[in-house]
Amino acid sequence: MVLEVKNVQYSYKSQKEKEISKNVSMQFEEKKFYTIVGASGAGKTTFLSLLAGLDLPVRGTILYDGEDIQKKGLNYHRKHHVSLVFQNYNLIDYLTTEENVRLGGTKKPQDLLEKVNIPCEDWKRNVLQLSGGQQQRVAIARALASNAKVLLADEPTGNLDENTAGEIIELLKRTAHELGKCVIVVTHSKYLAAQADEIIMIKDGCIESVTELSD
Amino acid sequence: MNSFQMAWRSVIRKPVKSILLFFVVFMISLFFLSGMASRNASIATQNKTKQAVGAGFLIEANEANKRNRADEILAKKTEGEEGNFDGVNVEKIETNYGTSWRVSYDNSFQTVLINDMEKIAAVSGISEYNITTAVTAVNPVDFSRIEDDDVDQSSDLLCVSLIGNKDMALDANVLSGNVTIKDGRMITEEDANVCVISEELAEKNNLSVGNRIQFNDRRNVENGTVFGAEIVGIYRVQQKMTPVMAGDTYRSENIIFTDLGFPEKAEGSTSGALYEKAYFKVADVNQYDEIKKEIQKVDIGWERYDLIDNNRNIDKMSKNFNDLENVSQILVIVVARASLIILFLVFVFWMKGRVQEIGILLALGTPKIKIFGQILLEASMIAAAALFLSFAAAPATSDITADYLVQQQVQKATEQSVLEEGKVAKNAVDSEETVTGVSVAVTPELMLYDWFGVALLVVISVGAAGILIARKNPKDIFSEIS
Amino acid sequence: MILSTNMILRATADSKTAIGEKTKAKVVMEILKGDDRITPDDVEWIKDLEEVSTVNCLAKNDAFPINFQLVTGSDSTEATNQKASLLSYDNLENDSGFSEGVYRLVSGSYIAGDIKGIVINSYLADSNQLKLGDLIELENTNGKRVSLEIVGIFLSGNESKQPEGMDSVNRIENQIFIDNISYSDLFETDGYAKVAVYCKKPEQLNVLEEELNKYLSDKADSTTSDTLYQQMALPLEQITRAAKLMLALTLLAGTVIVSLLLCMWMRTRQKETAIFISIGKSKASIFLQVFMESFFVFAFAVLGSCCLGNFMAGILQGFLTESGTDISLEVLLQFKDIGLLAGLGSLLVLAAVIVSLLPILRTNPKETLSKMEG
Repeated sequence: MVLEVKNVQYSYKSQKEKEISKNVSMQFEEKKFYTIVGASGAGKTTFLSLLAGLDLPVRGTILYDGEDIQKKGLNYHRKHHVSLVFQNYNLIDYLTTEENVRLGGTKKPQDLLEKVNIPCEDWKRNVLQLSGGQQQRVAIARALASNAKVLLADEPTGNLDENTAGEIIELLKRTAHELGKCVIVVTHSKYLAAQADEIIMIKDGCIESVTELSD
Repeated sequence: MNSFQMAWRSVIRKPVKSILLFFVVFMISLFFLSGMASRNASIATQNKTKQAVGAGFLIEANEANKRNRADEILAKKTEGEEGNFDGVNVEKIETNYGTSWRVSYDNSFQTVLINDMEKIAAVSGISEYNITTAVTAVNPVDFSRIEDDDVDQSSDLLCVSLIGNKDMALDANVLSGNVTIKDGRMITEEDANVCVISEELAEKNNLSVGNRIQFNDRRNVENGTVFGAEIVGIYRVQQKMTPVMAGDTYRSENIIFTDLGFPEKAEGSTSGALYEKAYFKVADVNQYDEIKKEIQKVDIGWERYDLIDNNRNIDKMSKNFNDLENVSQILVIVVARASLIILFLVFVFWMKGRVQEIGILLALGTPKIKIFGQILLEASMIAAAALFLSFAAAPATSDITADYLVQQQVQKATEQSVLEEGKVAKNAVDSEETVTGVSVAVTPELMLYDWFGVALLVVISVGAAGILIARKNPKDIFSEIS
Repeated sequence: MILSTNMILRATADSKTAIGEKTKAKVVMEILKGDDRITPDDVEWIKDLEEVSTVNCLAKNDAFPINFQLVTGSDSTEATNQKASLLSYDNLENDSGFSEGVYRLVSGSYIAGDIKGIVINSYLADSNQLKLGDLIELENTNGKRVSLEIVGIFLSGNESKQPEGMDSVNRIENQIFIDNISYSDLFETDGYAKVAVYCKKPEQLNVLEEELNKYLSDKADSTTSDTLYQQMALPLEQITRAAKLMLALTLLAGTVIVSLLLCMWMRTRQKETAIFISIGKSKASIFLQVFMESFFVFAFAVLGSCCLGNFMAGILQGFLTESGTDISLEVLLQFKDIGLLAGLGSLLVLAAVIVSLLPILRTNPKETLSKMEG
């Protein structure tokens, strides 16, 4: 078990009475591909943000390798324990492809770029000059660069066409099964959800069900 | 990648944003520099204006002391005795009203002592000094004086008046601007046996610069030794000089300026010269009070003299000069404050455009302080380049500023200066110096202030703007931008 | 910033004017004939002139002493040996032997606006045991008597050098300085031998002289004196120029900076502009929208700065005049300041909007939008 959520509750500071996450508990393991699904506003992204250490829960704890993530600080957690992939890629617009991947912490971005099938002639180009799919792959390469055990992705295929989305999903699956990481993806896509080892259904801020899928 | 590498890439690869920010800082820096240079120039011209007004000290003999000394001397003489007693002359006069005693003093008794004046002149802060003789009536030997034909001259001495000066340019009549040279020049310390006569006297006697005129003792017109003086200048007055006493001898047109030693010779004095007053010009009017204190410490017989302030004009204008100085200072403060506000707003604006980037870096686990450091580095790089360019542009700015400040005045002043060389009072600071000496140079000191000011502004602005963002957590940032 | 600088410029000009007035530039009108004097009506006319700040009228006459003895060295029985010489002034410190250093006030005060009376010689005072505050009586040739208070005592230093046999009226000891009102009491409306007319603005001295000559050409001759002003004229002028320069710099800097800021602002609205173009909005209407937005912001800013400006004016006044100057500097926000600001500012906004919007309007909308989307 690499990541554990214990009785976590969360609400916005300005609306304390509205709980976004209610008493959520869950365990995540390495080498597994998880998807989090649910209706809009169910609290999926919020849950992912808490896992990513982007914010603190109002109540409850989040443990990484058995240790509270607040012990070494959220920054440390984001830098060393988890890596993030976003729907709109969130690459730095004044850096090249290579430099963006290097931001993740690796000294050899080329290996990762090869792994995510970015041709070498694109390595030194400004990242905004790549297509959407390519940009998302660069984002994944950056996420892999940190050697974090957990990879969190929020709607990674939301802006992509079907074919490209499929490629990204394959990449994420390989990341989990071949690279041994714990990959957790928030998605609306039924197809993507069906690719997971476990599907977590969130409704009204609570985990309604956890379905294990066999191959 | 470290902060420096990130900062460098951000600056170079977003050229338009960088250039815009660069120009803003450049303009502010140049504005700041120009403002400070103008302020300095302004204060310098105010100072020169003050110095142009001039100030000094006057020393005259104290009347009460004269009488006391005389009384002490006369107390020792026998009742009813006539004669000279240590410089005090006692003379019995019989009139229709009875016997009266006339007391008069020798020159040596009542003169201001030169040694004492030299001691005062040595005080630090005194730039120049002059000694003036009393108005001395002497007989004109080979020329005619100006006379009022309607006036009975029987009680007049039938003389002309000599005023001897060590430095005529510091004579009271010249300092006030009343006496100016029409032809020739003024008398200086090096001159001997020279004179400057009025234009009326020159016209009446057909005299011009280079001629010699002669004088002798009025009490011994027939046989008195004749002394000649060369005319080195002819003066004119704006207003007639007030005569020291009634009679054509003392009227304005008959006043003749000479070198310091001439009047005693011409009048045939047997008791030395009679120096009536001394004037000490202060080098820096701002030091007036301190210099006065130093003068009062000089070891001379102060009971013999009156020390008179001669700074009325400066005194009356001092408040206005203070106001002007305040104005100059306030200008710089206004400029600085405005610059701070503008730069702050610019950086807030700049930072708001980087929210997404900041969110990404936070999501990657970059500490806030490192992000802030990167942005500060970027701002510093741009500011440094802007400052450097503004310093390079500074000399040109100085030149333009100086040109604007002096413009046609240089031409006019040079012409005026040539015409008036040696002819005007020394109160006026040399015209050329006043005009071209106005320094609007952007000095290393100014640049340092500017650098420091802009650096401080950048740090404060980035810091303050950064705080607005740093208070948010990454989740809020992402909610904002998505 | 523009407002403040403009106000400061005006404060500088005011100080310069104040200093100019204190340099005592003057036109001196002196009568040509003894019996054709400058009348009090003439003086009133002179005082009404715009350029005139003050006048100092001088008159001269003789009078008999009533309750004191004159100092005399002559035994003549002529009237001239029985009279004192009276010289009247509005302000004794100026235009007299005192200002030239021929006489020195050893105690008391000069005759001035609010100080009326007489100033007598120290020897005269000693020989009659008179002191400050004592009253002496004088009589004119028609028998009119006036009682006058001694307000000052002077010395010449040349009293002992006067020739023997000098009539009392000519002796320094018997010179009495008197104020013009008391003089008029004693001699009725006698008129003045000399009037020194002080100019408010030394630059207008020649204009004043011309006017006075035109009015008094038949009875008086004029001379001018503005030495102190001439000595200060150049640097004074530079002070004003320095302030004007600051204003120009402020305007220039303000223009450039606002333009740059608007450019920065426009760049953040590239996407919005591209969207408008892509949905068919004309470039002219986009320009108008941006201009109106900028103008409204500018208008509010001007309003705000005017309100703040008046408050600032008060503070500035305090800073500038904390030395307690007698000249009140009007550091007020005037309508012309606001007008200037509004006018200049509008032009500035227009120029800046054009400069900043042009690159964006010229770009192909497809390029802009695809750059945004990535």
